[in-house]
Amino acid sequence: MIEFNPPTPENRQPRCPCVLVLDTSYSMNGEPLAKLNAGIAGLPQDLRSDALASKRVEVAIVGFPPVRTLQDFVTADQFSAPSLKAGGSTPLGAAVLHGLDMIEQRKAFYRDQHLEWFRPWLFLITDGAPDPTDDWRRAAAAAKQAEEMRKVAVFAVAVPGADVGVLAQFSRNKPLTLVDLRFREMFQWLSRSLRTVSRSNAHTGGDPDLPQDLSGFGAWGRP
Amino acid sequence: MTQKRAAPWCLAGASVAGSSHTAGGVPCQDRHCTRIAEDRDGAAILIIAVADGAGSASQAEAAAELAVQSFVNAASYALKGMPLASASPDAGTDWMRAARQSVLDAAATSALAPRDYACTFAACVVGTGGGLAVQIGDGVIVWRTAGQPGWTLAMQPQKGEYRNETRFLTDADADACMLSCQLPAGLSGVAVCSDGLEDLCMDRAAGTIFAPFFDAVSATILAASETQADELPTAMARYLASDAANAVSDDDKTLVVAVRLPDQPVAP
Repeated sequence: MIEFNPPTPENRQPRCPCVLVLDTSYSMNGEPLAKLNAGIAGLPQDLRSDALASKRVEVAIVGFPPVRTLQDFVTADQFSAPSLKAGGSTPLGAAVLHGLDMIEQRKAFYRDQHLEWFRPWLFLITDGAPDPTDDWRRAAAAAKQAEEMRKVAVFAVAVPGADVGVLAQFSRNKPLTLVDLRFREMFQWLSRSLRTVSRSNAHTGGDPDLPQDLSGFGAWGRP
Repeated sequence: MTQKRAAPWCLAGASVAGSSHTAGGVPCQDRHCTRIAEDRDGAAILIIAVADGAGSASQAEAAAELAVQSFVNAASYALKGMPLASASPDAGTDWMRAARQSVLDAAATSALAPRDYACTFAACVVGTGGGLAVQIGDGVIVWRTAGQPGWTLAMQPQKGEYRNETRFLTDADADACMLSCQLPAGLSGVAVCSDGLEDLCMDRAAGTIFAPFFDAVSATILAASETQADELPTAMARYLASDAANAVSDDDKTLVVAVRLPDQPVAP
């Protein structure tokens, strides 16, 4: 049988990386996790509805505990949402460090491939307080320092029950508190924001400023 | 679907609905037509025409079908009275105008507006001594010559300010927007595609042809030309409808590729 199977051009679009750092500790069990799963399940579709974003936005997922890469960076057109399971404690700091590490590795990959990129996002979602053994202070300092050096933009979302005071240490952006477990609305907002950023012209290896207008979280969160 | 094993060309071509059309219950609005005609001097002339009916046009498929048929008829008819070598690119534009007129006449007959028959159009007419290419809108025509690596874009696809804007055969100012060019002698391959192929076969950022795509397609055609030429159109349609192709572009897709067969050795 004749098969046409020609190679196609590589995707040379500038990349807009976003790592989701997701708390799947035991306390997320039940409705929170079900809604988190439902919310994230719609993300690929939301991003792919935008042809450009589907080539530019790259999503990676870190789950904890244990801290592990559930999804390495992949462009939205190839991204499928994992199904998360709850269990264990909250090594928050270790998970954030893992996410920051993945971002730096991804940037090295972009450099190697001569791809341009937008400032990466780290999106942290948790409902708890860090484990006693977790060196979250070091992680928070690293996140904040990376942010100040414009290496990353960090957003923390507190699911009710989270230690907001701890989360506030991870970013100069104030943590947002999720209202009514509206994960679906939150991911829709994330998708819209990423699509907006991925369309902006300020894309170089030089980590440009984010667009100022990242509001519109009212549908799901409050400061 | 098209397949012809009329020496000296072997062709594979298909027009298939993209996944976005399938999902929306919209039929394929691309059409293509190919013919091996003869010019006045009896030389075999390859004609390929591709039209992409606008998504916003109520008669998109009919318009595209009429446009490709009319062009191929006009070109074949004109070449009966002249050698292709003496046909300038302007002659090609005349044939495209004939296609435009057929489409406008159909609109008038149906008491519909020209925009109901809006389609883009791209075509080439090729003989051994070269040929010509014409287009209006965002189709893609590429060629290569024997012994030279790489494929050349005949004309830049016409784009508007926005991604979904282009020029149509039925535009009031179509005449001013029609592009045409000469193709060189010694062509070993030529291809005409609708804009649905663009992300598969072009490096959009650089605005250049992604040669490995056409190299691979023409190699497959050449390999099949001896014994399996009949299967080429089905194979092409299968590829264009594949998940792999739809993952890159969900638009309707037309790809017609013609490969010039190597000269047969002459017995001593």
